[in-house]
Amino acid sequence: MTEQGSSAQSDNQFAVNVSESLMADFAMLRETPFYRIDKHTSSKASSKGSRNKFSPKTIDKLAQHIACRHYANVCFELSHLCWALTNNSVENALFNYFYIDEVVTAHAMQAYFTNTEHCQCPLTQASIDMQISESRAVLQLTIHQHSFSIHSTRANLLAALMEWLVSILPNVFDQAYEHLNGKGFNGIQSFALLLQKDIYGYLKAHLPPAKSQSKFLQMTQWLKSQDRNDFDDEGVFQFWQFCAGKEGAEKLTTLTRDVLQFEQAIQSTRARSAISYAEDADTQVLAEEIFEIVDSYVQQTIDVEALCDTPKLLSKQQAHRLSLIADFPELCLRFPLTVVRYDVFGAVQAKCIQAQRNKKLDATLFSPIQENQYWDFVQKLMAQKELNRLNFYAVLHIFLLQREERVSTSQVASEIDEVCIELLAANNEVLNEFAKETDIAIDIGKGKNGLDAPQLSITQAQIIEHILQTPALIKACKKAYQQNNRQGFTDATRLKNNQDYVDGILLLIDLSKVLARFIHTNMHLFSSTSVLNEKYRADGFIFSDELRRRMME
Amino acid sequence: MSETYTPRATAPIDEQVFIALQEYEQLRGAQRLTIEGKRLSRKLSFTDIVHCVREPQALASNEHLSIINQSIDYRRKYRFVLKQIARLQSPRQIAASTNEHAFERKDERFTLSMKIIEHDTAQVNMTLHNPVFDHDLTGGARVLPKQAYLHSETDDEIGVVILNEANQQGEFSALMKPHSDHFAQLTNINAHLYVTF
Repeated sequence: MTEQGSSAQSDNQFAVNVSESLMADFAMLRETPFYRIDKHTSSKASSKGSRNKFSPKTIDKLAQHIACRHYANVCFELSHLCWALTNNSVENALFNYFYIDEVVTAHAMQAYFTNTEHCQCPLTQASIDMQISESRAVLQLTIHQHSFSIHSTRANLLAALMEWLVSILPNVFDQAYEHLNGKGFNGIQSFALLLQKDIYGYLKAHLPPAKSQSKFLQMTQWLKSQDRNDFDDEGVFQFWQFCAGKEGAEKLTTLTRDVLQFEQAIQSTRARSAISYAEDADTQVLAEEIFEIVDSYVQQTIDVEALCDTPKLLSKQQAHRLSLIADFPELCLRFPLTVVRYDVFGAVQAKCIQAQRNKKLDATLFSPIQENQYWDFVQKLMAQKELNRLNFYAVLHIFLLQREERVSTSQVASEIDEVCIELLAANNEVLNEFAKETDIAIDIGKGKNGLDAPQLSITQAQIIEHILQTPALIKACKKAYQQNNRQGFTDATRLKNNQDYVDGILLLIDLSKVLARFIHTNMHLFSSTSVLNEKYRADGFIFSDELRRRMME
Repeated sequence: MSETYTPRATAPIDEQVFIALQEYEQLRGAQRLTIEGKRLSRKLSFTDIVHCVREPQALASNEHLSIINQSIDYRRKYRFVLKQIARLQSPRQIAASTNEHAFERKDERFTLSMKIIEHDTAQVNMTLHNPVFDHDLTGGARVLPKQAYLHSETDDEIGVVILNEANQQGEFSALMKPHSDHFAQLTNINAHLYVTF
């Protein structure tokens, strides 16, 4: 089955319309290291990922800006930062800031501009000032009437953008000095515009939309020909049959993702289309709108790949099985059978394609495979919920152990207590179950008004604390930990950084919720063995037949 | 801003959203390719190049330098970084012929000499005498560095020699083979030399 995972990923490579060079740019950005790792490993970041300058989230965000052609604002912002660095009377500040001091975190940016030398601006009526309050640190720039602020949390994204620009454009540093040194707002504008223009030119060569455009057209036309407005489960399957011989649409897995993205696109814009068809729609406003729509989908997704890292909360195989639901949590609710087919037939097709590459294709590969594959898949999804829960226990055990140590050395209440409470509070299911075992009868999941509790009141924290001490919970956690021998859960592989466990397990809880909703919404279909088996037989016949026709004839 | 460089204004918005979603997924996929250990053609980031200049003895630097030497663009960036952080430079000297080599290079701020070691003719001792460095980048006190590097740059190659810690006379030295690339580079009077630390 691991073969299935890797073939689905290499699939990605073949469907590329993003140039290899741009792909390599992003792979490069993700791997860009710090100069001296030890200098940057403070207590909070002393584990995975900390040797890299840019966080995965930052690079995803940059990718989103690029894909949505929403880069005018970030260029404008970067241009301001560069202005501050080319007008601060420190020699070589622009280069040193990004590449000698490697200022890429909010903390480092704040520290850098707290140094008064870095804020001395020799221009008249201009100032550079780091304004720090309890909740935020903002770099405040003033040039005559113009003022602009850069939040220190933007440090990583702006540095990543700079890194990319330096890599794809010649002479960015020289250009920056030329446009910005000794100049005011006009200089900032002209440098920002130059960056935009260069990015535009680069993307024109490396991000041609033609392939995606023709896919979009194909789907629109097919829906029209079928007199439909939307795809549904049967629609996806029929469309796949229709696409025989069409480049980039042969694979059921690729095609499914295309269709779901198509559905996302048309649904989110249906209400807005009246505005956007207006001929004089400002391109910048449009880019903003597209960025926001894409952002709303990105926010929903759950990064199952991240759960395969240490601490290992999912195996590659499990992650692959959940990938469609994790990438399209909302939309999948409407496409239960598609999710099942994606996994079951995706694997069959991958196997056949592999056999074809090895020149070992024969008819037996197509004859109806094992029975009841749909049912098996659904069972595995349901089992996954339980596995996730065991992982939750195992992580909680790690914290409970630390808490015990803390108590035995009689230190005062610490972060560990808060972490334990935070984790349990995030997992309603476990909470409710063990609440029953205590003598407190209260519905923890609800706040005072019967709404989902947004914040824990003190009493709720106390209740959770009480539950944390239930012997049954402690026992379940210990057992789960002992039975888990994955990376991050054995004495040899335990990570020092608690935050990695917290981040991972919170993500896993989100995943469990998405999974539970998916199963619950489609219970009518998933609960009946006979219905699923019948569906599988019917689909299997169509699928094998179609595949044989395509590959053997 | 009056002008904007944001393309595709003419396509309907749903189509544009679809394209953005597709491209975003692919750019994110770049991560998977590296997680899987399968790399696309290795691209060096500017940061990689800066690190290579600053710490040539690091494990990755050796590998990176050979990649840098295959690309004009990377060499141009390497040179740019050298110019930013070098404490001492000796520009190429005007040569009568392009293949001229010299066993000694004299500059206002240092002398570089190559001496064959008497008891071991397979080794050459390269010494940097009396270097006068630019002030410390960060404005710190002027102390002799523990570790210094001598970079050489010709039209088509960049080389770097890791120097031993300075002796009491303030001289830096390194041993090399007389037929090595390093030797050829450093005796080439067309090479631009840089010292970093």
